[in-house]
Amino acid sequence: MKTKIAATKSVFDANPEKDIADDSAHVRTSFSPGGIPIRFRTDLSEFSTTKNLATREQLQLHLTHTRLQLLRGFDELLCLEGLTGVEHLPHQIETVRKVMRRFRGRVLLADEVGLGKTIEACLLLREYLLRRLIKRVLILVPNPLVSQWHEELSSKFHLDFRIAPRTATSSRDEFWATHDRVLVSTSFARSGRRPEAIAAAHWDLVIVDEAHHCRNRSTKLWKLVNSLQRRHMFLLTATPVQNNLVELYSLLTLLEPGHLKTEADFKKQFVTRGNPRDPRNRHRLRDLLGEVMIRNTRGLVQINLPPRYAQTIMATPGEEESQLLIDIQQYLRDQLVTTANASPNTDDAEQESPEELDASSTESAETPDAVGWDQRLTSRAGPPELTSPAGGPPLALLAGPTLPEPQNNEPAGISRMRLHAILTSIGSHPATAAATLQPLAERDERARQLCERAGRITHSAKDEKLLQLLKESHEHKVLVFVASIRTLHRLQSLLTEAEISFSTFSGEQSSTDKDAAVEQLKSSVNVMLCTESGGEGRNLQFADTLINFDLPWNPMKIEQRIGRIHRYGQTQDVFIFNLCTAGTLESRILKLLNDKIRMFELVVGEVGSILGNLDDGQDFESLVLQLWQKAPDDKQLDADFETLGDTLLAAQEKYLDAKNLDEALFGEDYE
Amino acid sequence: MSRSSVESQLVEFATALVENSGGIIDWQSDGSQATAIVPPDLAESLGQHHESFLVRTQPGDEGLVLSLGGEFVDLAARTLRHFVPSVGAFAVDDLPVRKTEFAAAVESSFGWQNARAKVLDGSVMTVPYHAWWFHVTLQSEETWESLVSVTLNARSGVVVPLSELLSLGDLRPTKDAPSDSSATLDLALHVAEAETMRQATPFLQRIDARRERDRKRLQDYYRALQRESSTPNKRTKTVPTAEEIESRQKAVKLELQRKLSELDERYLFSAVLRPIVLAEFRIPAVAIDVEIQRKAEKRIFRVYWNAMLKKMEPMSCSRCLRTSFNFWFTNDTVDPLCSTCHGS
Ligand SMILES: [Zn+2]
Repeated sequence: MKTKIAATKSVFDANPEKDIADDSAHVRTSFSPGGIPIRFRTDLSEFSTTKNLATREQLQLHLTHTRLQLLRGFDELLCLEGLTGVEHLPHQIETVRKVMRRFRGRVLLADEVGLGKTIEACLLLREYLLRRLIKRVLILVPNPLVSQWHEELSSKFHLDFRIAPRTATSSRDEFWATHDRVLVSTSFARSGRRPEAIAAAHWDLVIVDEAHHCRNRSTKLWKLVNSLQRRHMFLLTATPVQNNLVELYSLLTLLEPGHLKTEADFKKQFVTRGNPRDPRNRHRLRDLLGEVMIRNTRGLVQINLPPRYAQTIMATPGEEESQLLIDIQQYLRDQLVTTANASPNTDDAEQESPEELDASSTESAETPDAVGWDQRLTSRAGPPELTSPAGGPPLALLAGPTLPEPQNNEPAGISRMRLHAILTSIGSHPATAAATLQPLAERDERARQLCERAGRITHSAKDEKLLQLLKESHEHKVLVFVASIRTLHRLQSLLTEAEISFSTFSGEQSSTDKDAAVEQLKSSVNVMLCTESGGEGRNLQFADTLINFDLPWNPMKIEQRIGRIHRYGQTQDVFIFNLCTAGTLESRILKLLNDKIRMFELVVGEVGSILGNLDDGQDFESLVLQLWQKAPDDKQLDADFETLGDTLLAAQEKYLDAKNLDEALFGEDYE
Repeated sequence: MSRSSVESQLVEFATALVENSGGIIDWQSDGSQATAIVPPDLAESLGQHHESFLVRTQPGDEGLVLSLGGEFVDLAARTLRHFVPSVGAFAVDDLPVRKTEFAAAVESSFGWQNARAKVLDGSVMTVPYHAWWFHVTLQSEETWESLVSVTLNARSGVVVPLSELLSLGDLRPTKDAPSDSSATLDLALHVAEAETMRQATPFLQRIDARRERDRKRLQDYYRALQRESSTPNKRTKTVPTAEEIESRQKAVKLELQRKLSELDERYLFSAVLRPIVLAEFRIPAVAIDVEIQRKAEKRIFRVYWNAMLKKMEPMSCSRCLRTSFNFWFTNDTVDPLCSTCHGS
């Protein structure tokens, strides 16, 4: 029988390697779940050798130091605290860590579309700011994406950026030197005297979205980005290579000059002669690119969303409503002609602030989209002043042979903004149209009559369709989106009359009320009426049905609506219904997006990539408005929409080409 | 932006570091910078040329700049190693010890599955517990780090959940240095490794998945080459002979094997455990001897009633070292086995 001591020691005896304290080379091997060996080693060199005993505070000091080391290792991210409505996914967190640790803040973020490059960049931006590693930040994005960036930075990441004003201020060095966080469109930044002014300032971080526009070293944009004094740089694009591998060379040379040596060296080593899309020495190229580029793919990330089904429900208006639609559009056209022929002096031009108009509740006067709205209408001719205020060339389709000669530049009696408001309001609801026409009605008999007629239509064709749809969807949680607050109010009474319970979520509510509305939808009602800002940052994936009661002209906004429920965390099939009144501009837009680019089948995020290809272009809303303005009749409008559709299709094909090429080129090598 | 939590941690840490290494530090009222006065060797350790220097939270040319990005964390490591001891010993006093009911406590806590147990005797004593902290780094294609702590009864080697005592407990410093620390370190390392494996599972799995994908890519590629080895030469249109095909295929196979082993090499994990701190807690306990009889053999085990935890501590499995209250015993040596080890 053994002694007590022996019994106690048996536990220690079970450990085969006893003398590790004398020997720091203690090695034991374990295995990962997948069978990779893990060699454990003990390192005693850091263990303090002082003879005195430590106080409790001194021991804590050692532990605090280790925690600081962990923090420095970027395993704990500071940027995740205090975000609003950012569902950061594991691969995004990994990317942030990698960029901070391995890439030293210089990286090409080339995730496949829809995996959240923008979120990664913004998390990184926040992390660097919180750690005080950076202070001065410049963000360059294509014009059509500026407002979205601005809004997301502010609402989700609580970072306020100054959008470079479209005034002479932006040409002066002081502006760029004195503002620490500036957001600017690429087309605006690269023209005029601005490149010199921007390059004169020092930046801690420069972010370039849709960076494939920098693929050509002879372009102004490449030269601008190359001239910037910066410490860190993130280039974002899902399609770094559009046509040939040299583009990749140009892009990465912006990031880390010399990393790929000279262009001649690069071509010699990595490009197959005679086929600039075919890489040689793939392994070596992969290793080199892996040091400067991260590409998350759907395959690795395993974001498999349930299927999405979209259906357009065309509401045929009754005779009264139908005639009204025709008459309002005719009235607006006549106004344009009158305006175009009127002398400047007889015109009592209105001065409207954006707030007076209900075109879109989310539009703010500061966004670049709004800049163009102040311009007076001149004629159906539209351009040249309707092109991008940044001075970019007009889109090809607008310069086509159908384009009438530009006429005079007389100020008009109806602002672009009001025109846009009226056109969208008739696409939304007659009641909304009536309200939007009201200011004109006060001075114009024809407008007064139209206004009165619109007011008489208590039930629009879409109203009936909506009620029918809601009755059929009674087992689903439904979001009904509207662009206008007036339409929202109208639908509130419609549903109340029909005894359908609902909650309301709108931009005018407090955060508490918004939470309550979501909670109600979750627990007690099946329908939530939402304005454009609906659900931003809130988890709405428990809903599976979305009804677009009206349609924003900007496809990015439509995509945002879809993205509210068709996103990570959605487990059910998603249904989207687009309600549309025959004969409206919306029905044309819908047809365009549906038939040409099959938008409702696209992965969320792809619309941005497509519109991003219209780099020099205006935002989509301006384009649509412009088409309507310059078309004398429906036949011409049909033709022009067809042309716009082809332009979009071309942009999409360009994107898809690049996407396919990049998938073939990069595979899953750069995650 | 208000002072970030990292910044306040850095300020607090630097202040304590200077004060605990024999210097003094005086912060300005706005907290933006401080003046430190320290002995020459401490100044040198902190990378300073003068015995009096500025400590600041914002970048600047002179003085000690507190940030995670710069060299401060490394200077601090060196300073801690030379100036701040990392082994402490403390007593926990005034804990009520109930000696009388120990037999009942043992019987209600333990299950002896294939043996008879007889509680012999119990005595009140002060038992040392060793709390070890390790900085663990796991490296493959990427790095994973953590701070892992393990506390053991230094007499029995059993793991007990007492590491929070260092920050929360009512401790009295003692004069005697911990004894037997190399034995407890050995055991604590073993436990810390298991804990590392548990905490790092998602990381390990991710690296596993990545290696698997890389292996598959290699295999697909070389399989394609295998298939091509029998196709005729494009230019000369000559069809390879059976020997040629065989030798080509053999070469491809060898190449694949080489590539795969290179790949495996690249993904190997190396894990380093660095002991940071050892705290000994002397805690009143009742040591209870239990005689276990398995068939003809008898053996006495000592178990502990812990006055801090107010309950019996478990025993360790003699094979896997996992703690348990439920044991089987071997025939000849009466070694305790947990149910997992007994079953296998
Ligand atoms: Zn066991």
